[in-house]
Amino acid sequence: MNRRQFIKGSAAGLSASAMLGLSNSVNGMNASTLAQAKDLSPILSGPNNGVLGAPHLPAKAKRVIYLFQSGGPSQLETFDYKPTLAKRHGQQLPDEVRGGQVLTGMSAQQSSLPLAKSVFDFKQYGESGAWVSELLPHTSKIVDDLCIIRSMKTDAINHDPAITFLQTGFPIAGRPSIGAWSSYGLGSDNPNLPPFIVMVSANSGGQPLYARLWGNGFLPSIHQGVQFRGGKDPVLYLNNPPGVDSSNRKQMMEHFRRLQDLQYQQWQDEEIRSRMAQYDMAERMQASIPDATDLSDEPDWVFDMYGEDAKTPGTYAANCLLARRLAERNVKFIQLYHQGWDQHDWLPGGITKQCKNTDQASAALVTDLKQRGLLDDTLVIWGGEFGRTNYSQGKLTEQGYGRDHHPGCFSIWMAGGGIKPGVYGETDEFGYNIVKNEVHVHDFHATLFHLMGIEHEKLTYKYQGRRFRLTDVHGHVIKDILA
Amino acid sequence: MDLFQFVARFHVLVLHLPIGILMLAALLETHMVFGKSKRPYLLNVIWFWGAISATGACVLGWMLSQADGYAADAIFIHRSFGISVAVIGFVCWWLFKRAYAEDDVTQGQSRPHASQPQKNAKPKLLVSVLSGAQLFFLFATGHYGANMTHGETYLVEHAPNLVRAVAGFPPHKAARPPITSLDDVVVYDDLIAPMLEQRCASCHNDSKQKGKLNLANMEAIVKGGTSSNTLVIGDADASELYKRITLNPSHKEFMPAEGKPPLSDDQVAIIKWWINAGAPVNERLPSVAMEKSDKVFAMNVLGLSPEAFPAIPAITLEQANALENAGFVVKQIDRTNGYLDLDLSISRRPITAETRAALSAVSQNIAYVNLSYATLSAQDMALLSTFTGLKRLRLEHASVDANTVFELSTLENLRYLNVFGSSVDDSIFDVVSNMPALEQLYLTGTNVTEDNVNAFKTASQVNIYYVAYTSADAKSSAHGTE
Repeated sequence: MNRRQFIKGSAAGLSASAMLGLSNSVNGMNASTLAQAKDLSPILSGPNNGVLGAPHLPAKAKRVIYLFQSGGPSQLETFDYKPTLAKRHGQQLPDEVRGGQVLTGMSAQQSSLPLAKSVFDFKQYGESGAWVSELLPHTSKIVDDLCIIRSMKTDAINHDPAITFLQTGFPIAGRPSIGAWSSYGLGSDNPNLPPFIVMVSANSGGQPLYARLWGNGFLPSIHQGVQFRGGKDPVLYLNNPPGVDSSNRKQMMEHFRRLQDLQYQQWQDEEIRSRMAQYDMAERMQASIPDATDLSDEPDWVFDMYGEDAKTPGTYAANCLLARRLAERNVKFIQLYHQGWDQHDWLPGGITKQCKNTDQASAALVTDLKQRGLLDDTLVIWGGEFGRTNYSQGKLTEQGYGRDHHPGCFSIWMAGGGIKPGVYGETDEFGYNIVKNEVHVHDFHATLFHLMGIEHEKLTYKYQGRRFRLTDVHGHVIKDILA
Repeated sequence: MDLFQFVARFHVLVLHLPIGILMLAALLETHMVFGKSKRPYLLNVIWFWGAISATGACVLGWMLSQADGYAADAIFIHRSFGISVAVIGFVCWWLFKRAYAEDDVTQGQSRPHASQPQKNAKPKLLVSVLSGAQLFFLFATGHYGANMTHGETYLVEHAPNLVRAVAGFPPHKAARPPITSLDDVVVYDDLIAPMLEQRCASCHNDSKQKGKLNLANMEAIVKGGTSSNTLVIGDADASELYKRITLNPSHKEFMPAEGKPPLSDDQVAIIKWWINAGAPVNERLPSVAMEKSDKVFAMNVLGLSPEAFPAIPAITLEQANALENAGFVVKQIDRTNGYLDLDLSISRRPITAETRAALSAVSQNIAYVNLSYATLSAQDMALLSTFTGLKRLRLEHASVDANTVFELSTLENLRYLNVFGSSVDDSIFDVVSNMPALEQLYLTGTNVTEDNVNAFKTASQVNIYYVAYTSADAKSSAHGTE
């Protein structure tokens, strides 16, 4: 028994309600929420309403679908068109452009940093006249629904810290992920499904992903993302085992609850309650998951939109379709991961394959949400953890060139829920530094929360003596891209 | 260090002594002269020390007046009354002492006869006049002194209009009528003044003027502060009033200073528009040229934008519970108002009398409602039509058709209507053409005809989302009910 447990245990004599009042995690009335005295105190304070009870401001995005492209897609082959690179193809990256940028160990030893043009053609599309490469024929058709941000900036140059930074607001592991914060703050809009669901493409591989990217950090574990399996059965063991019927199950759960409750009386550990809540959720998911994940009721034209892949469970396309179905069912934060965007060499071949696997379904998701009226209050985000260098890693050849990690600029897009379509931000003619409207990862998080109705400075959790928040001590809402 | 002024500032302490002592003396003296009891000799002492303390206050007051910062005429009147207090104090002391001197002597010399009734008439007139005068001068001195420290309006700031009229002040400003449309807006009173009052007035008002700037009325704004270009009419970029609120917030000249809440982006935009438009005052908005974007800013500042929610109280816990028991997911739109986001599509519970009762109890609070997959009777649709604040209505795959959809035509705030996959037909165009606020209409998978969709698209501002899949296609995408 450690000191904390001792103190909790000896306080067990107090009434349960008093304990709840003291606890940071249960009703969550920590100082930051109490401080808003002018608020109409939300009448709804159940677990489905989150610690805030109601958003700080009306949410433009009731739900988020984050299509995470893991590995760092090259901005120079997708959205950031740089004719100068073609003119200077093969010349050295000027020192004054590099500006002392630290390189990774993979290209720092190179005697030469030759600028590399994209081998793919770019054209302008839509009313915004956005430049999009030939790799993304489907995305290019929907550019007027997208806000393409070409001026994203991160602090980290390697996969682990960069992806951890983007998903949790801090490059070192241990903070809650965006979806966990959203669950903690806003709760759930569907009591029968987890408010934070994660799907990793089965038809991709590359840099590893790990559960802490969708973890709860120091928040109660009930807020962690629930990962669907990339196969025929996204969630296993939904059916009762042979010989056990539903009434047996109910009885067992009843006794189990009483046992857990005894434990809670003794230890006063909130994690016991989280665990019980997860068991209850699992029971409800026995009915809600088959309803949500069974694609057999989707007509053919839907598969035409998302592509043939969508019929194969676990593919990116199938996951996009599943994401739409979860959005229809009000799952608040739906996070997809597609790996394999880490083209250090043989980039043209690699990125062609990546785009082929993702372009159609990403665009179809936006179009499908739009025609169903869901894009109006669903935010879709497409992007990776950093950009790629404008010089070739390794030998510069037509098909063999590659690009190293580059934190200084990268491109993402957002669509729907309160976002103003268009092209935002600008990099220099080398595609190396941001020259206009930088959007730092913290600003991206602040803006994302703003769209969800959360003032990012006001959603905090006290842990180890200080109040933490997703944006730490940073972050400005990028008002220019709000609709 | 200025020892002279250090001592002078004790005026503020010492002045309270004559107020207390001389007031006590005057009241006691009056009481004694009209009452039966005998005047104690002690009163002479009280008058004397009262007059001495008044003299001390006068001297210190004169010293204080040597420092800068007080208006000459304010000093003159306060000083005149103050000296009068001290003089009358001494006069009272001397005269009353004399008037009662015989008594004192007589009493002192003939103690054995002390029980004899007092024969001498008391100096009633003298005491009344002098004590009254003393009280008057005391209060007058105090009042004019207080005016110098608190400002002339301090006393009457919260006075009833009758009192203000007697004191020669204009009556309180009447509350502006609530604004419901841009056409009613008087530029300065309704649009500009409330912003300045909200964000600037705590430091720039009639009595406190940081940087010698007062933003409480138009004359003062035109006059400006330490810098003369507070308001350069027609040129926002040259006006300090606009420059200071658009600096980097960490700049030391940024306003509002000291980390007070800044003006919103909409408010800043409106200040810019106002200055560039020539700083109109009494004009109504329609008579001033305004870009469309400025109108949006003005709507936002005034809380008139279609996105804005007028304040409404929250529903009760019982009402929320009734909705949840009827199968709704119940959410409050945000923490500052009581609008609801209701969703029956998760539970897909059938709509019963209880559902209708729970809904009609909160009908004014409903902003968003999702009734996808619901079976809706004509009665249910009629109930929907009473949700006057409704902005978003989702009826995907719901049982709504030509016979019931007309009920919705009274929803004048409806911004978003989604009937994807339902059985509505072309009659919906008659319904939605009466909806003034409608922006988004989702018709894919319904029985509308493409020709009519296109005709309506050209005739109206509404964004219509319609893809001509066969309705069997769209219908089969309905996921099965529980």
